[in-house]
Amino acid sequence: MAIKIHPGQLLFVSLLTLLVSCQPAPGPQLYQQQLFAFGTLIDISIVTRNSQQAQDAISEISSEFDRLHLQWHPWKGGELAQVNQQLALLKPVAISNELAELIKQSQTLSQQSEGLFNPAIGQLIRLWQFDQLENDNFQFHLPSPKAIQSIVDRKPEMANLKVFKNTANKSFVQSDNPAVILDFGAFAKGVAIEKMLTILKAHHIDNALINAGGDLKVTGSKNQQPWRIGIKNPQNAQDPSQPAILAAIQLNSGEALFTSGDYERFFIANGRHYHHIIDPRNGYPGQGVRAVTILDTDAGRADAAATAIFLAGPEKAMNIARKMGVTHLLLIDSDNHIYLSPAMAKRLELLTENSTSIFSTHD
Amino acid sequence: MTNAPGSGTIHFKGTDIIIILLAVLLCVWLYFSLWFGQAIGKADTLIVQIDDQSPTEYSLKNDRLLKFNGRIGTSLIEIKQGKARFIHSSCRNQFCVFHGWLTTPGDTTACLPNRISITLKGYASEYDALAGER
Repeated sequence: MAIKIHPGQLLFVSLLTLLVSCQPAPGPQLYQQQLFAFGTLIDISIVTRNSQQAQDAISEISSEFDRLHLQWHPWKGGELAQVNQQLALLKPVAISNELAELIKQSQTLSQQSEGLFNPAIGQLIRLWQFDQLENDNFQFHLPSPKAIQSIVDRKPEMANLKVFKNTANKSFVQSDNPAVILDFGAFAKGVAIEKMLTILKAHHIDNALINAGGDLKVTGSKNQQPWRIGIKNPQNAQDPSQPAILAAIQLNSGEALFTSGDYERFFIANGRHYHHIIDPRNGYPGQGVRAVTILDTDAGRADAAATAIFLAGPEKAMNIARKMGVTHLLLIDSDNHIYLSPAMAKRLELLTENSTSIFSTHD
Repeated sequence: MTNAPGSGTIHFKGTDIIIILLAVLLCVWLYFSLWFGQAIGKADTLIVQIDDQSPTEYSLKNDRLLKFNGRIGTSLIEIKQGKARFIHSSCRNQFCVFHGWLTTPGDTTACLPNRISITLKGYASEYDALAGER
Protein backbone atom coordinates (compact mmCIF):
# COMPACT_ATOMS: atom_id res chain seq x y z
CA MET A 1 0.00 0.00 0.00
CA ALA A 2 1.28 3.48 -0.83
CA ILE A 3 -0.08 7.00 -0.32
CA LYS A 4 1.07 9.95 -2.40
CA ILE A 5 1.93 13.14 -0.52
CA HIS A 6 3.02 16.35 -2.18
CA PRO A 7 6.28 17.83 -0.75
CA GLY A 8 4.35 21.08 -0.19
CA GLN A 9 2.07 19.24 2.23
CA LEU A 10 5.06 17.92 4.12
CA LEU A 11 6.50 21.46 4.32
CA PHE A 12 3.15 22.75 5.62
CA VAL A 13 3.04 20.16 8.41
CA SER A 14 6.67 20.90 9.33
CA LEU A 15 5.98 24.63 9.55
CA LEU A 16 2.89 23.95 11.66
CA THR A 17 5.02 21.90 14.07
CA LEU A 18 7.49 24.78 14.28
CA LEU A 19 4.69 27.20 15.14
CA VAL A 20 3.35 24.96 17.90
CA SER A 21 6.76 24.83 19.53
CA CYS A 22 6.99 28.62 19.61
CA GLN A 23 6.99 30.30 23.04
CA PRO A 24 5.79 33.81 23.68
CA ALA A 25 8.60 36.31 24.14
CA PRO A 26 9.58 36.53 27.83
CA GLY A 27 7.20 39.03 29.42
CA PRO A 28 7.20 40.41 32.95
CA GLN A 29 7.97 37.73 35.52
CA LEU A 30 6.39 37.18 38.91
CA TYR A 31 9.04 37.76 41.55
CA GLN A 32 8.14 36.41 45.01
CA GLN A 33 9.87 36.59 48.35
CA GLN A 34 8.97 35.75 51.92
CA LEU A 35 10.21 37.79 54.89
CA PHE A 36 10.05 37.20 58.61
CA ALA A 37 9.23 40.72 59.69
CA PHE A 38 6.81 42.78 61.75
CA GLY A 39 6.18 39.79 63.98
CA THR A 40 4.67 37.84 61.11
CA LEU A 41 5.36 36.24 57.77
CA ILE A 42 5.28 38.65 54.84
CA ASP A 43 4.88 37.52 51.23
CA ILE A 44 5.79 40.01 48.55
CA SER A 45 4.85 39.40 44.91
CA ILE A 46 6.15 41.79 42.27
CA VAL A 47 5.51 41.63 38.53
CA THR A 48 8.50 43.03 36.69
CA ARG A 49 10.91 42.42 33.82
CA ASN A 50 13.75 43.49 36.08
CA SER A 51 14.55 41.18 38.98
CA GLN A 52 17.20 43.58 40.31
CA GLN A 53 14.53 46.27 40.60
CA ALA A 54 12.36 43.85 42.59
CA GLN A 55 15.26 42.84 44.84
CA ASP A 56 16.17 46.45 45.60
CA ALA A 57 12.57 47.28 46.50
CA ILE A 58 12.19 44.18 48.69
CA SER A 59 15.37 44.89 50.59
CA GLU A 60 14.21 48.46 51.29
CA ILE A 61 10.77 47.16 52.33
CA SER A 62 12.41 44.63 54.61
CA SER A 63 14.46 47.22 56.48
CA GLU A 64 11.48 49.59 56.64
CA PHE A 65 9.30 46.85 58.20
CA ASP A 66 12.09 46.20 60.73
CA ARG A 67 12.40 49.89 61.53
CA LEU A 68 8.65 50.39 62.02
CA HIS A 69 8.33 47.18 64.02
CA LEU A 70 10.88 48.48 66.51
CA GLN A 71 9.64 52.09 66.54
CA TRP A 72 5.99 51.07 67.03
CA HIS A 73 6.48 48.13 69.35
CA PRO A 74 4.76 48.82 72.70
CA TRP A 75 7.72 47.87 74.92
CA LYS A 76 10.72 46.65 72.91
CA GLY A 77 12.90 49.77 73.23
CA GLY A 78 11.91 51.83 70.17
CA GLU A 79 10.16 55.19 70.17
CA LEU A 80 6.72 53.97 71.25
CA ALA A 81 8.20 51.95 74.13
CA GLN A 82 9.92 55.08 75.44
CA VAL A 83 6.75 57.14 75.05
CA ASN A 84 4.75 54.45 76.87
CA GLN A 85 7.13 54.68 79.82
CA GLN A 86 6.56 58.41 80.13
CA LEU A 87 2.86 58.79 79.33
CA ALA A 88 1.75 57.94 82.87
CA LEU A 89 3.65 61.01 84.17
CA LEU A 90 0.92 63.04 82.44
CA LYS A 91 3.51 65.52 81.11
CA PRO A 92 4.18 66.43 77.45
CA VAL A 93 6.37 63.79 75.77
CA ALA A 94 8.37 64.73 72.66
CA ILE A 95 7.55 62.45 69.71
CA SER A 96 8.47 62.18 66.03
CA ASN A 97 6.06 63.58 63.47
CA GLU A 98 5.64 60.02 62.19
CA LEU A 99 4.36 58.79 65.58
CA ALA A 100 2.25 61.95 66.03
CA GLU A 101 0.57 61.12 62.71
CA LEU A 102 -0.07 57.51 63.78
CA ILE A 103 -1.64 58.63 67.07
CA LYS A 104 -3.83 61.26 65.40
CA GLN A 105 -5.07 58.86 62.71
CA SER A 106 -5.95 56.27 65.32
CA GLN A 107 -7.72 58.88 67.47
CA THR A 108 -10.05 59.65 64.57
CA LEU A 109 -10.70 55.98 63.82
CA SER A 110 -11.17 55.19 67.51
CA GLN A 111 -13.77 57.93 67.89
CA GLN A 112 -15.59 56.82 64.72
CA SER A 113 -15.64 53.23 66.02
CA GLU A 114 -17.19 54.36 69.32
CA GLY A 115 -14.05 53.18 71.12
CA LEU A 116 -14.20 49.58 69.83
CA PHE A 117 -10.92 50.18 68.04
CA ASN A 118 -8.88 51.36 71.01
CA PRO A 119 -5.05 51.41 70.88
CA ALA A 120 -5.02 52.93 74.41
CA ILE A 121 -5.60 49.52 76.03
CA GLY A 122 -1.95 48.44 75.85
CA GLN A 123 -2.12 47.40 79.53
CA LEU A 124 -4.89 44.90 78.72
CA ILE A 125 -3.00 43.50 75.73
CA ARG A 126 0.04 43.13 77.97
CA LEU A 127 -2.03 41.39 80.62
CA TRP A 128 -3.30 38.92 78.00
CA GLN A 129 0.27 38.51 76.67
CA PHE A 130 -0.80 38.95 73.04
CA ASP A 131 2.10 41.33 72.58
CA GLN A 132 4.49 38.44 73.20
CA LEU A 133 3.61 36.10 70.34
CA GLU A 134 7.12 36.29 68.89
CA ASN A 135 8.78 35.62 72.20
CA ASP A 136 9.45 32.15 73.26
CA ASN A 137 10.38 32.55 76.89
CA PHE A 138 6.91 32.94 78.35
CA GLN A 139 4.13 30.62 79.38
CA PHE A 140 0.54 31.78 78.91
CA HIS A 141 -1.33 32.28 82.14
CA LEU A 142 -4.92 33.41 82.46
CA PRO A 143 -5.05 37.00 83.78
CA SER A 144 -6.93 37.49 87.02
CA PRO A 145 -10.45 38.94 86.62
CA LYS A 146 -9.54 41.55 89.22
CA ALA A 147 -6.53 42.79 87.26
CA ILE A 148 -8.64 42.97 84.09
CA GLN A 149 -11.45 44.86 85.81
CA SER A 150 -9.13 47.40 87.40
CA ILE A 151 -7.79 48.42 83.97
CA VAL A 152 -11.26 48.50 82.39
CA ASP A 153 -12.53 50.68 85.27
CA ARG A 154 -9.83 53.26 84.61
CA LYS A 155 -11.19 53.66 81.04
CA PRO A 156 -8.03 54.21 78.99
CA GLU A 157 -9.03 55.71 75.64
CA MET A 158 -7.51 57.64 72.75
CA ALA A 159 -9.40 60.78 73.79
CA ASN A 160 -7.14 60.88 76.88
CA LEU A 161 -4.30 61.92 74.59
CA LYS A 162 -3.56 65.37 73.27
CA VAL A 163 -1.17 65.66 70.31
CA PHE A 164 0.22 69.13 69.64
CA LYS A 165 3.17 71.03 68.22
CA ASN A 166 5.26 73.63 70.00
CA THR A 167 6.39 76.90 68.43
CA ALA A 168 9.45 75.13 66.98
CA ASN A 169 7.10 72.78 65.09
CA LYS A 170 8.10 69.81 67.28
CA SER A 171 5.40 67.23 68.08
CA PHE A 172 4.34 66.26 71.59
CA VAL A 173 1.79 63.94 73.16
CA GLN A 174 0.30 64.35 76.61
CA SER A 175 -2.00 61.98 78.49
CA ASP A 176 -4.52 62.86 81.18
CA ASN A 177 -5.09 59.23 82.20
CA PRO A 178 -2.26 57.19 83.75
CA ALA A 179 -3.91 53.95 82.55
CA VAL A 180 -3.15 54.76 78.90
CA ILE A 181 -0.49 52.54 77.28
CA LEU A 182 -0.40 52.56 73.49
CA ASP A 183 -0.46 49.31 71.52
CA PHE A 184 -1.02 49.63 67.77
CA GLY A 185 -1.36 45.89 67.16
CA ALA A 186 -4.68 46.44 65.36
CA PHE A 187 -3.46 49.32 63.21
CA ALA A 188 0.30 49.37 62.66
CA LYS A 189 0.30 46.64 60.02
CA GLY A 190 -2.22 48.50 57.89
CA VAL A 191 -0.28 51.76 58.10
CA ALA A 192 2.99 49.92 57.45
CA ILE A 193 1.61 48.26 54.29
CA GLU A 194 0.63 51.70 52.96
CA LYS A 195 4.24 52.82 53.49
CA MET A 196 5.52 49.73 51.66
CA LEU A 197 3.38 50.58 48.64
CA THR A 198 4.91 54.04 48.62
CA ILE A 199 8.35 52.40 48.53
CA LEU A 200 7.28 50.20 45.58
CA LYS A 201 6.08 53.28 43.73
CA ALA A 202 9.43 55.01 44.32
CA HIS A 203 11.07 51.95 42.70
CA HIS A 204 8.71 52.31 39.70
CA ILE A 205 6.96 49.04 40.50
CA ASP A 206 3.34 49.29 39.39
CA ASN A 207 2.17 45.70 39.85
CA ALA A 208 2.60 44.08 43.24
CA LEU A 209 0.91 42.37 46.16
CA ILE A 210 2.04 42.60 49.78
CA ASN A 211 0.57 39.97 52.08
CA ALA A 212 1.47 40.50 55.74
CA GLY A 213 0.24 37.48 57.62
CA GLY A 214 -3.01 37.22 55.67
CA ASP A 215 -3.68 40.97 55.51
CA LEU A 216 -2.86 42.39 52.13
CA LYS A 217 -2.92 45.22 49.66
CA VAL A 218 -2.41 45.17 45.90
CA THR A 219 -1.34 47.66 43.30
CA GLY A 220 -1.84 47.25 39.57
CA SER A 221 -2.58 43.78 38.28
CA LYS A 222 -0.95 40.47 37.47
CA ASN A 223 -0.35 40.16 33.72
CA GLN A 224 -3.39 42.33 32.91
CA GLN A 225 -5.57 40.19 35.19
CA PRO A 226 -6.83 41.55 38.52
CA TRP A 227 -5.15 39.99 41.57
CA ARG A 228 -7.31 37.07 42.66
CA ILE A 229 -7.56 36.39 46.37
CA GLY A 230 -8.98 33.44 48.30
CA ILE A 231 -10.47 34.28 51.71
CA LYS A 232 -9.73 31.48 54.16
CA ASN A 233 -12.62 29.59 55.74
CA PRO A 234 -12.41 29.81 59.57
CA GLN A 235 -14.20 26.44 59.84
CA ASN A 236 -11.31 24.76 58.04
CA ALA A 237 -9.00 25.67 60.95
CA GLN A 238 -10.86 23.26 63.28
CA ASP A 239 -12.17 20.78 60.73
CA PRO A 240 -9.93 20.09 57.72
CA SER A 241 -12.82 18.34 55.93
CA GLN A 242 -14.44 21.79 55.52
CA PRO A 243 -13.52 23.78 52.39
CA ALA A 244 -10.26 25.69 52.82
CA ILE A 245 -11.51 28.73 50.94
CA LEU A 246 -14.67 30.59 51.93
CA ALA A 247 -14.84 33.05 49.06
CA ALA A 248 -12.92 34.36 46.08
CA ILE A 249 -12.51 38.01 45.23
CA GLN A 250 -10.67 40.02 42.60
CA LEU A 251 -8.99 43.17 43.85
CA ASN A 252 -8.65 46.37 41.89
CA SER A 253 -5.46 48.39 42.06
CA GLY A 254 -5.10 50.07 45.44
CA GLU A 255 -7.48 47.80 47.35
CA ALA A 256 -6.63 46.20 50.68
CA LEU A 257 -8.18 43.18 52.39
CA PHE A 258 -7.83 42.92 56.18
CA THR A 259 -9.16 40.21 58.49
CA SER A 260 -9.63 39.93 62.24
CA GLY A 261 -10.36 36.39 63.34
CA ASP A 262 -10.34 34.16 66.39
CA TYR A 263 -9.06 31.03 64.70
CA GLU A 264 -5.27 31.22 64.53
CA ARG A 265 -3.79 33.31 67.31
CA PHE A 266 -5.16 32.02 70.56
CA PHE A 267 -4.16 30.35 73.78
CA ILE A 268 -5.89 27.44 75.44
CA ALA A 269 -6.32 27.49 79.21
CA ASN A 270 -8.65 25.26 81.26
CA GLY A 271 -10.03 23.86 78.02
CA ARG A 272 -11.12 27.27 76.69
CA HIS A 273 -9.85 29.27 73.73
CA TYR A 274 -8.68 32.80 74.43
CA HIS A 275 -8.09 34.72 71.21
CA HIS A 276 -6.28 38.00 70.67
CA ILE A 277 -9.06 40.50 69.93
CA ILE A 278 -9.67 42.12 73.30
CA ASP A 279 -12.91 44.02 73.90
CA PRO A 280 -12.10 47.35 75.60
CA ARG A 281 -15.58 47.37 77.20
CA ASN A 282 -14.97 44.32 79.41
CA GLY A 283 -11.30 43.41 78.93
CA TYR A 284 -11.98 39.92 77.57
CA PRO A 285 -11.66 38.41 74.06
CA GLY A 286 -14.68 39.40 71.96
CA GLN A 287 -17.49 36.86 71.75
CA GLY A 288 -19.96 35.83 69.06
CA VAL A 289 -17.88 36.46 65.93
CA ARG A 290 -15.35 34.20 64.21
CA ALA A 291 -13.98 36.58 61.61
CA VAL A 292 -14.45 39.93 59.91
CA THR A 293 -12.89 40.80 56.56
CA ILE A 294 -12.83 44.40 55.34
CA LEU A 295 -12.10 45.60 51.80
CA ASP A 296 -10.99 49.22 51.62
CA THR A 297 -8.56 51.40 49.70
CA ASP A 298 -6.91 52.51 52.97
CA ALA A 299 -5.11 49.57 54.61
CA GLY A 300 -4.86 51.35 57.99
CA ARG A 301 -8.59 51.99 58.11
CA ALA A 302 -9.30 48.42 56.94
CA ASP A 303 -7.09 47.09 59.77
CA ALA A 304 -8.78 49.21 62.47
CA ALA A 305 -12.28 48.52 61.11
CA ALA A 306 -11.73 44.73 61.06
CA THR A 307 -11.06 44.82 64.81
CA ALA A 308 -13.85 47.30 65.63
CA ILE A 309 -16.49 45.41 63.61
CA PHE A 310 -15.38 42.07 65.06
CA LEU A 311 -16.17 43.52 68.50
CA ALA A 312 -19.33 45.31 67.32
CA GLY A 313 -20.93 42.01 66.28
CA PRO A 314 -23.54 41.56 63.53
CA GLU A 315 -26.14 43.89 65.09
CA LYS A 316 -23.91 46.96 65.16
CA ALA A 317 -21.57 46.03 62.29
CA MET A 318 -23.09 48.20 59.56
CA ASN A 319 -23.52 51.12 61.92
CA ILE A 320 -19.85 51.13 62.93
CA ALA A 321 -18.74 50.48 59.34
CA ARG A 322 -20.65 53.51 58.13
CA LYS A 323 -19.19 55.72 60.88
CA MET A 324 -15.69 54.57 59.94
CA GLY A 325 -16.34 55.15 56.23
CA VAL A 326 -16.15 51.44 55.34
CA THR A 327 -18.55 49.95 52.79
CA HIS A 328 -17.25 46.42 52.07
CA LEU A 329 -17.47 43.94 54.93
CA LEU A 330 -17.81 40.22 55.50
CA LEU A 331 -18.64 38.87 58.96
CA ILE A 332 -18.85 35.23 60.07
CA ASP A 333 -20.51 34.67 63.43
CA SER A 334 -19.75 31.84 65.83
CA ASP A 335 -22.54 29.73 64.25
CA ASN A 336 -20.73 30.15 60.91
CA HIS A 337 -23.53 32.28 59.51
CA ILE A 338 -22.19 34.74 56.92
CA TYR A 339 -23.20 38.40 56.83
CA LEU A 340 -22.26 40.62 53.90
CA SER A 341 -22.67 44.32 53.28
CA PRO A 342 -24.49 44.94 49.96
CA ALA A 343 -21.28 46.32 48.39
CA MET A 344 -19.30 43.25 49.49
CA ALA A 345 -22.01 40.88 48.21
CA LYS A 346 -21.51 42.32 44.73
CA ARG A 347 -17.78 41.64 44.82
CA LEU A 348 -17.51 38.24 46.51
CA GLU A 349 -17.88 34.83 45.00
CA LEU A 350 -18.95 32.61 47.91
CA LEU A 351 -17.64 29.05 47.66
CA THR A 352 -19.30 27.41 50.66
CA GLU A 353 -22.84 26.38 51.51
CA ASN A 354 -23.02 28.45 54.73
CA SER A 355 -26.28 30.28 55.40
CA THR A 356 -25.80 33.86 54.31
CA SER A 357 -27.60 37.15 54.79
CA ILE A 358 -27.03 40.60 53.40
CA PHE A 359 -27.01 43.53 55.81
CA SER A 360 -29.68 46.10 55.18
CA THR A 361 -28.24 49.51 54.32
CA HIS A 362 -30.69 51.08 56.78
CA ASP A 363 -29.44 49.28 59.89
CA MET B 1 9.53 5.84 2.39
CA THR B 2 10.78 6.45 -1.15
CA ASN B 3 10.98 9.62 -3.09
CA ALA B 4 10.76 8.79 -6.75
CA PRO B 5 13.08 11.21 -8.53
CA GLY B 6 11.22 13.69 -10.67
CA SER B 7 7.78 12.41 -9.73
CA GLY B 8 7.06 15.22 -7.19
CA THR B 9 5.31 12.83 -4.79
CA ILE B 10 6.29 10.78 -1.75
CA HIS B 11 5.18 7.21 -1.43
CA PHE B 12 4.25 5.99 2.06
CA LYS B 13 4.24 2.34 3.00
CA GLY B 14 2.07 0.66 5.63
CA THR B 15 4.73 0.86 8.39
CA ASP B 16 5.23 4.59 7.66
CA ILE B 17 1.54 5.21 8.29
CA ILE B 18 1.68 3.33 11.59
CA ILE B 19 4.65 5.43 12.70
CA ILE B 20 2.96 8.67 11.65
CA LEU B 21 -0.21 7.65 13.50
CA LEU B 22 1.83 6.80 16.61
CA ALA B 23 3.59 10.17 16.40
CA VAL B 24 0.26 12.00 16.16
CA LEU B 25 -1.12 10.04 19.12
CA LEU B 26 2.04 10.82 21.11
CA CYS B 27 1.58 14.53 20.35
CA VAL B 28 -2.05 14.47 21.51
CA TRP B 29 -1.16 12.54 24.68
CA LEU B 30 1.77 14.84 25.50
CA TYR B 31 -0.41 17.91 24.94
CA PHE B 32 -3.03 16.82 27.44
CA SER B 33 -0.67 15.29 29.97
CA LEU B 34 1.71 18.25 30.03
CA TRP B 35 -0.93 20.99 30.02
CA PHE B 36 -3.56 19.38 32.19
CA GLY B 37 -1.80 16.42 33.78
CA GLN B 38 -1.00 18.20 37.04
CA ALA B 39 -4.35 18.98 38.55
CA ILE B 40 -4.78 22.73 38.43
CA GLY B 41 -5.44 24.23 41.84
CA LYS B 42 -3.93 21.25 43.66
CA ALA B 43 -0.85 21.62 45.79
CA ASP B 44 2.16 19.61 44.63
CA THR B 45 5.12 21.24 46.36
CA LEU B 46 6.11 22.24 49.89
CA ILE B 47 8.35 25.27 50.28
CA VAL B 48 10.33 25.48 53.50
CA GLN B 49 12.00 28.72 54.45
CA ILE B 50 14.43 28.91 57.35
CA ASP B 51 15.34 32.39 58.53
CA ASP B 52 16.78 34.39 55.64
CA GLN B 53 18.13 31.40 53.73
CA SER B 54 16.82 30.70 50.26
CA PRO B 55 13.75 28.47 50.36
CA THR B 56 13.90 24.72 49.70
CA GLU B 57 11.24 22.78 47.80
CA TYR B 58 9.96 19.28 48.54
CA SER B 59 7.53 17.24 46.46
CA LEU B 60 4.26 16.40 48.18
CA LYS B 61 4.20 13.08 46.31
CA ASN B 62 6.42 11.30 48.79
CA ASP B 63 5.27 10.98 52.40
CA ARG B 64 8.11 11.88 54.73
CA LEU B 65 9.21 13.62 57.89
CA LEU B 66 11.49 16.64 57.64
CA LYS B 67 13.54 17.91 60.54
CA PHE B 68 15.00 21.43 60.60
CA ASN B 69 17.05 23.43 63.03
CA GLY B 70 15.91 27.01 63.55
CA ARG B 71 16.74 29.84 65.93
CA ILE B 72 15.51 28.19 69.10
CA GLY B 73 15.53 24.48 68.31
CA THR B 74 14.09 21.92 65.97
CA SER B 75 10.88 21.82 63.97
CA LEU B 76 9.45 18.57 62.64
CA ILE B 77 7.33 18.79 59.50
CA GLU B 78 5.27 15.96 58.08
CA ILE B 79 4.34 15.46 54.44
CA LYS B 80 1.49 13.01 53.99
CA GLN B 81 -0.90 12.36 51.10
CA GLY B 82 -0.29 15.70 49.44
CA LYS B 83 -0.64 17.71 52.66
CA ALA B 84 1.89 19.12 55.11
CA ARG B 85 1.96 20.24 58.75
CA PHE B 86 4.14 21.03 61.72
CA ILE B 87 3.98 18.05 64.06
CA HIS B 88 6.49 19.42 66.54
CA SER B 89 8.31 22.66 67.16
CA SER B 90 10.46 23.88 70.01
CA CYS B 91 8.27 26.96 70.57
CA ARG B 92 6.04 27.41 73.61
CA ASN B 93 2.94 28.91 71.97
CA GLN B 94 2.61 26.07 69.40
CA PHE B 95 0.58 28.18 66.92
CA CYS B 96 2.35 26.35 64.09
CA VAL B 97 1.27 22.95 65.39
CA PHE B 98 -2.30 24.15 66.18
CA HIS B 99 -2.57 25.36 62.57
CA GLY B 100 -2.83 21.72 61.48
CA TRP B 101 -2.68 20.53 57.88
CA LEU B 102 -1.91 22.82 54.97
CA THR B 103 -3.96 21.55 52.03
CA THR B 104 -4.36 24.40 49.52
CA PRO B 105 -1.79 26.17 47.34
CA GLY B 106 -0.85 29.46 48.98
CA ASP B 107 -1.65 28.16 52.44
CA THR B 108 1.18 28.97 54.77
CA THR B 109 2.10 28.81 58.43
CA ALA B 110 5.21 29.51 60.40
CA CYS B 111 6.91 28.89 63.67
CA LEU B 112 7.87 32.54 64.18
CA PRO B 113 10.09 32.00 67.24
CA ASN B 114 12.02 29.35 65.30
CA ARG B 115 11.85 31.37 62.06
CA ILE B 116 10.68 28.46 59.94
CA SER B 117 7.80 28.81 57.50
CA ILE B 118 6.07 26.21 55.33
CA THR B 119 4.01 27.11 52.26
CA LEU B 120 2.20 24.97 49.71
CA LYS B 121 2.59 25.65 46.02
CA GLY B 122 0.56 24.29 43.12
CA TYR B 123 1.19 23.94 39.40
CA ALA B 124 -1.33 26.66 38.57
CA SER B 125 -2.79 28.17 41.71
CA GLU B 126 -6.29 29.55 41.52
CA TYR B 127 -5.35 32.40 43.87
CA ASP B 128 -2.52 34.88 43.94
CA ALA B 129 -2.78 35.08 47.73
CA LEU B 130 -4.84 33.79 50.63
CA ALA B 131 -6.40 36.31 53.02
CA GLY B 132 -7.30 35.65 56.64
CA GLU B 133 -5.78 34.94 60.04
CA ARG B 134 -2.56 33.00 60.11
